[in-house]
Amino acid sequence: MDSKQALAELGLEAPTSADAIRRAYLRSVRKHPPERDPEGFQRVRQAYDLLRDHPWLWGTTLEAATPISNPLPAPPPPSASPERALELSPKPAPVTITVEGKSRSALFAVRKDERAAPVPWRDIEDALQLLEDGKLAEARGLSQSLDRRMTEFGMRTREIGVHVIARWTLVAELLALEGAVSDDLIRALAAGVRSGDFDEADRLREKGGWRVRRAVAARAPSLNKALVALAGGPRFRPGFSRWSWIGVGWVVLQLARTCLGSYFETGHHSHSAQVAATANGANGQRAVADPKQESLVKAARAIDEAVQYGDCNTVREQWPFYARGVRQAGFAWSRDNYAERRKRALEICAELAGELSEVP
Amino acid sequence: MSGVHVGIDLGTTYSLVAVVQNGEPKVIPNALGELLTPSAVNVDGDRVLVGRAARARALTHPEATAVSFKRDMGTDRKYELSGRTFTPEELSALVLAELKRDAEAALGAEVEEAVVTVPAYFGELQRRATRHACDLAGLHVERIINEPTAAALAYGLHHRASELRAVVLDLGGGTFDVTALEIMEGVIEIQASAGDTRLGGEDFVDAMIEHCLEWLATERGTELADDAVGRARLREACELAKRRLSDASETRLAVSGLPTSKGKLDFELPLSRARLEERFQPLLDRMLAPIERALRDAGRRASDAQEVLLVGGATRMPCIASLAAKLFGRLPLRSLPPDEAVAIGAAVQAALKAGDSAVADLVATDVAPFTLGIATAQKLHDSLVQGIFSPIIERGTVLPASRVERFCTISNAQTRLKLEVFQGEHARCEKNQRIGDFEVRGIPSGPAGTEAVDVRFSYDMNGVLDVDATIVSTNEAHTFTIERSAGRLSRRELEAARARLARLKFHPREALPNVTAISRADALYAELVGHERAQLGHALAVFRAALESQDPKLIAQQREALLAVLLALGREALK
Ligand SMILES: Nc1ncnc2c1ncn2[C@@H]1O[C@H](COP(=O)(O)OP(=O)(O)OP(=O)(O)O)[C@@H](O)[C@H]1O
Ligand SMILES: [Mg+2]
Repeated sequence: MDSKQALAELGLEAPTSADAIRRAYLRSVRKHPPERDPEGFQRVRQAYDLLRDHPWLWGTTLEAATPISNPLPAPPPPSASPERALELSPKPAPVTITVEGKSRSALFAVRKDERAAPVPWRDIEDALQLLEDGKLAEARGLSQSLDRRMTEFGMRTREIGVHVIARWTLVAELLALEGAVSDDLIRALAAGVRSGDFDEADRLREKGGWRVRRAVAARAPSLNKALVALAGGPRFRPGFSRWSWIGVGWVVLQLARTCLGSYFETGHHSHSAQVAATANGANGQRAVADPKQESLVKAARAIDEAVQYGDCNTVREQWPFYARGVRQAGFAWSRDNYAERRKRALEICAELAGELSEVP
Repeated sequence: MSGVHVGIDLGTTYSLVAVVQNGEPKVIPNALGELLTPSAVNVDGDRVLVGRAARARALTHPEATAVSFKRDMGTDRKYELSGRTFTPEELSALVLAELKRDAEAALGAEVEEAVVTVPAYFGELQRRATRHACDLAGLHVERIINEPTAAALAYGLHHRASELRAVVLDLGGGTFDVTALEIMEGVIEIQASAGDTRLGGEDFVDAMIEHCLEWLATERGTELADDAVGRARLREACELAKRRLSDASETRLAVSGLPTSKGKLDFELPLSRARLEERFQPLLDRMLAPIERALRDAGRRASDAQEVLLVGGATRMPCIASLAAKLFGRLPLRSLPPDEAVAIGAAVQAALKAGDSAVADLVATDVAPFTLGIATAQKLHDSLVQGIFSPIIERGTVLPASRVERFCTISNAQTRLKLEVFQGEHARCEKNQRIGDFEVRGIPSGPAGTEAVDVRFSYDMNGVLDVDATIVSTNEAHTFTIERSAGRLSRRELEAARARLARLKFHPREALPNVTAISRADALYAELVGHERAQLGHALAVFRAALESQDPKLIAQQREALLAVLLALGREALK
């Protein structure tokens, strides 16, 4: 199915907006309800998915647009060089099974085949590759043309596909870091996004001290969160050697996508923040009644961790609960730690000076 | 039309059966004239009791009664009731058979087909167990739908002309489900479902029991004796107190003669809603994750929801409504009858499936609640990492759906591929649920990575998964079906179970009101003392004498008298 057929399927001449496409889709669903006409419904849905995920086709006249083939009916042949970015060995080595039980024969193993990615995805991956190669200017050029293409039609996140958006945002964040941190760190971050391995980026950032940490947190909040999530994630759990995790780099990459995705998917920050804030609100209230000071300790811990990663948003979020808890508790120990913690928090969040309320 | 098509809500605490007649859905009353049939089974001598009578006997004969068995669906747990062994499937089958009989008696026609609901978050094994239960009950069931989807249908039935986004929260006795839906252009679009299959009203009761036990330990320095009847009575008292606290802010919990390690104790404890809500906090916290996930999957934020609907009996607790209000920034609605919404939706779905013209203009789409995929491996250096989960149909995909992914061989001269089908969200296969196994043979021998196989998953609305594998170079196709009835039990075992159930004896339908009245009276008798006890004992004796006489009129008369005494003694009893 190409874009032209898809439009015909939904009974559209030329789409004008995401909303028009959605309504056309729903009207077609009424004609082909899944209950009574499952085949017809799947065709309609396929058309809708195609148009929704390739919105840059809308503004162009149909003749001029390259018809995009939906991967469903005819998947492209396997790519000529199926090696992935994650395959560490440059030359193919003979397979010998050394992990996970000898009961399973290598004969039964299958590997996921990489298929040609749809257009914006490819471009974004290319931009990331350029960043990783240190070609910042080229990356910026590619990203700008991409931005133009994608914003020209006033598209919303939902229509583009959440993972595409997540990666697109990461590219933008990486570009925003230019000049604020070393190019090496940008390259390491790009490599981290591509492979899920943020070790090098983490090391460089640590080396740069709090100024760099703050810059990353301020200009690239989602990257920063990924960094925090991954550094605290399963890679460093005891019992897993680092090596075995690099071995399943694919898994880590999925993990990176998931944790980035969860900040980005559709409603994004504000939604996650809202739910978190509600939960925190409950915690904050409980800090008052909680004789064991658990939530105070929790808030303190969250702040310390956020300071370490230069995540000023979390500091800002947690501080009121912490401060209130300290005020309620009035414990000598918390007062001591309070001064120290406040100093560090202010160092990271210099611009927050006025906002970190004092404990009288 | 030869038979009727009904919808059944097989709940943890209550089950219901409903039907659409003349375009209006209605819940069918049982032999006692009640809409809710407790999901409880009691074995009384050689007879099996289901429903309210069994629920009452849980107090007096806990060792012969099973409740909340829905929680064990899909597991190997066995229930031992008066020397007979039952699986959770068989117990559910007994409840389903009861509902079927009720429906047939009320409608005067055979039940031709039923739509049965399960929690959205039931996995494949639990769904198969539910299908087995339907088989055992002699119910023809093609479609199993998600409870919140059913609730959404019940809601959408009256709102199909409007355009809005809604979130349905269903907190029942044993499970919590969240569904995000949108109604637009006359289509009810279920956008995402998430939930927790082990979070419900029963857990709140557990928390209360724990509270009581702590109080016993600290204030009385004693603990509950190991006594099933005592435990059952404490549980009942907590359940009743929980319900009272939905309306009042304070109540007293009282159990007379509670057996403890220091002898019998008249247990009495004042409870306040505020104090209990602190104890409930961990349970309330657990509700956040599924809500957040459903919203995220649907691409929504909390503030987008124009309506928040509460269904399920446990949403009557004020703390649930306030949690919803806080999260969504708006007051939740209870416009659907909380106990009946799911059954009504199931009936609507049954009518839809049967092609009932009254609901012909209702169009709904649903999504896959889990990701389906296969196990793959990856070669790295000189080692092979196996058991990587490669999704093919992602959760949230609109059903029916068909997706294809290409996989290739990993070693030289590999001529076979093993397709292990898994369901779940974890990147490692061993953390997901295995639901089937196939092998593709006859792949031409060649160097690793050169031969490819296209694997297509087709998932239909009845939950049947078809797997097609096509060898790319030879265009040779293999087709497999994951039998939805294939599961833990083989055909033979199913037959044996059916025969075993067929041998059970039931009370005749018309005797049920009598048995229920006696069971309820027996349960209350244990709670009473002194004069009240004597009064109830007398009424019971008179009723038993009436039963002996076998005179239907006299029996009916004395039963009413006994029920009047039960009412007059002023104790509420659980339905
Ligand atoms: N007034 C009330 N206040 C508090 N809780 C109540 C009230 N009425 C009923 N409940 C609780 O609601 C639960 C039963 O709800 P419901 O009938 O919706 O569940 P179910 O459908 O049987 O279970 P599930 O859907 O989880 O399988 C019980 O735990 C009961 O304690
Ligand atoms: Mg229910």
